[in-house]
Amino acid sequence: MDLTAWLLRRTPPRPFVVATPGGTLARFAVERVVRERGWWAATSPAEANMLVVAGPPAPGLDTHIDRVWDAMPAPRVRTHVRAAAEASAVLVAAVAQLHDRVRQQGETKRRAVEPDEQVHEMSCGSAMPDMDHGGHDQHQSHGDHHEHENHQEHNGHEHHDEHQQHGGHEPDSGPEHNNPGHDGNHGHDMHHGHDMSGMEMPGGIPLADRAADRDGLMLDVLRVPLGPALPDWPAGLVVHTVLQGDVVQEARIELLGHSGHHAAWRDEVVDPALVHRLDSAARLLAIAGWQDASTTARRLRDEALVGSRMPGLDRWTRQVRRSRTLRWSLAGVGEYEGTDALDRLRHWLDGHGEPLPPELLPDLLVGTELAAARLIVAGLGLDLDQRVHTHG
Amino acid sequence: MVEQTPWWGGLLLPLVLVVFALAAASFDSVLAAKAAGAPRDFARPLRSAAGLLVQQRRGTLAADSLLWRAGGVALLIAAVLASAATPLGDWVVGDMSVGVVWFNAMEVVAWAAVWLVGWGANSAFGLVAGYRFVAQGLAYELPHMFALITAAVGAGSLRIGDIVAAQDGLWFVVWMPVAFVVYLLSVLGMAFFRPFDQATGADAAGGVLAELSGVDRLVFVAGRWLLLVSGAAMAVPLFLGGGHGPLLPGWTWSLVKTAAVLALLVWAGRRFPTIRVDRLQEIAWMVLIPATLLQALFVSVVVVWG
Amino acid sequence: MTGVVTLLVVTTALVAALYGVAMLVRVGAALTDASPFLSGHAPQEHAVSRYHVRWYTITMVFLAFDMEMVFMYPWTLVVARMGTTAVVEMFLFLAVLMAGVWYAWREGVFRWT
Repeated sequence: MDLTAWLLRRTPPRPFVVATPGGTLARFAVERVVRERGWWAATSPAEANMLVVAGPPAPGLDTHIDRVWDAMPAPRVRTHVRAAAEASAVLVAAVAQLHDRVRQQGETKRRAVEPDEQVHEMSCGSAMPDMDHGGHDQHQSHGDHHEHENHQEHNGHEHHDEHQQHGGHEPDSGPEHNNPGHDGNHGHDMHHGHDMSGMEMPGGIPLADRAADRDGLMLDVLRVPLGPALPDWPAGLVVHTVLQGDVVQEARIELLGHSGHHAAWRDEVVDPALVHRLDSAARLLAIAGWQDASTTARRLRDEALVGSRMPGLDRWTRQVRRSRTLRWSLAGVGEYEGTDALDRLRHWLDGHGEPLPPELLPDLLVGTELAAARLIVAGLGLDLDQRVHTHG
Repeated sequence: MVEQTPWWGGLLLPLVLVVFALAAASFDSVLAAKAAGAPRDFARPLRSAAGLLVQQRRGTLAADSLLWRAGGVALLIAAVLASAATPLGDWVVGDMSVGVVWFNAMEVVAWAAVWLVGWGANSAFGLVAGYRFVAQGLAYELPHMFALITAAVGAGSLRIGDIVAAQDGLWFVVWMPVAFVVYLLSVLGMAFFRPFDQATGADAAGGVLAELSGVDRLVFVAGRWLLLVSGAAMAVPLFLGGGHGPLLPGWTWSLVKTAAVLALLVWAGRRFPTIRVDRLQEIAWMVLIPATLLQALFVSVVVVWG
Repeated sequence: MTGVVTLLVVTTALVAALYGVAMLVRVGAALTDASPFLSGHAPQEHAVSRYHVRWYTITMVFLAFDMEMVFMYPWTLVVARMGTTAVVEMFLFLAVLMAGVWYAWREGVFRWT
């Protein structure tokens, strides 16, 4: 008896969903399939066995998605849902591949022979996340970092053009590479004058450096980028944070892959404002750790999407509004113009409240803990796809 | 009267605990399916375990593998050992004169275990979440210990068998309701179970679980469920009269009461969003500790003058 | 105590068996040197670092209480026999500790965000 095959066939799919800019409707469709089939979404690549990219191809996100894929343990399957209509068929096909022992073992063997590229990337001490739209064969150019500080101003085509120039750079990598650039002009100067060759670099990456905290103490800092390949996170958004402990000391935003010519999802939906409010609430509740209320919100969103009646809406609204513990978690989080995350959630429940712009984020995030920072981002109700529509 | 089983009691106890853990996880997945409008899947925990057995293990870059794995194994073993002094009806694996302290000591292993699992992976999310759990420990541990001590004072003994015997007639939950409620809260806290699950929070990509896969993840997750079961099971002899009950034999009462407490914990946990550790701290110190102290004072006064 | 020893041995054996079974049925050897999850970015430094624990003052208050527990466990055994003195002494001690907690609370020790 082939025990591996028998166990593999019983493995529940654990999808890790990455939405791309312009992929709002595709993501809704994927989340609906996941919910209705009783799958549980993964929160990290280690937990996942299925990588689902939802939305149109976004070259700016390719490296990030590749890196998530490289970090996933077998059995695993990678799939791309480009449009909402194909979600169900694509995901069902993916499950068949996931449960195929021959395929999984074959791929694992192949992977053992050709290790993933990321090991090489990390030996550079850093990597340019978004320059690799050409695919794996360009990884050797990762040693080049000079223009990182410009990214926050760059969107869309301009962004891509710049990267095409990068493709021609000499490969310039290796652990001895002197690497002051990965940090560019982020507004702190802790890396200046460091020569990596003299540092201890276990695994090819340096130890944490130090910087002064708010009380002037020198403490270790970690650079922890949030997004774009993060569940319940706005598509294409990256918040580059610098953490001390779990406190955000610096935050800088970058928008990836918003090229400006995506079809606007709001034109295809009966009541887009309602759908967006329910989706925002679902994400905020998921980040706040209220799984059941979040699932219910997604169910209501899927009903609103097709304009059907929503029998559970009142009950859910009451439950969320009355929750003392939720109030306790959200009160005072992300205060902006006199409203906090709790007030904004209540506005959504009341049927109003417009998405806020992502440019607010750096000021709101500095000085907060990681938990609060995630709630702040989710609590703004960002709709970057709408923004593409109006400004692009 | 509670009596110690022969050595083979130690063979059966893990089996009982595993069955409880699977049942609790199954109940949890049924509740999740109900919220999602998905088909019910009672075998979900078993299928998840199957998936984790075939899954590749993974080691992260420059991880502290020894401590990382040790954390998971320690959590599971401590979770099982915590039930050594818990009687099932009239039988107990280890009839210790300091049974309450034994349980306390085993449960505290979670502090080290969870932190090590978070720290060992060399991952930012795991690290943050590991420290969240230590902070959570600072909040739940003292109310937990005062709740345990209140039951011990009521019986004048740290032996679980004596505590059960002292409840012949009147269960401790009747005159120690505060201690009972705080105990249940602290069980959710020690098993970092919803709503005290910030250590494995979705906001930190699964927290200490973020880098675990394969059998390593299975051992850790199983350890967490077993710890929840051990905590729920201990509530029965401490506050709910142990095996006391009409008609049915004692062991049945122990099983029924444990199942009821466990189901309550799993069900109640899903009704609340995650409680942030930083918000919990003030309540724990300024409300829970004074409340359990007053409860302990009340019980002491009753014991001395009652 | 043979039961407890058996319990320890059996549980350890079960964990070992799980690892053994997993070794036999897994689809492939362990993935080594995987990148820790950073939303699709490569790590720029090791996460393991000196962590800024802003609640360290709480650990101090906790330690004071935890030492108190060392006295309180044996105290439970004698409180009924010793009577009023035991109760008064223990709860006076606890009252002193609670005064410390109250002071710490006023100083904002339990709020660090």
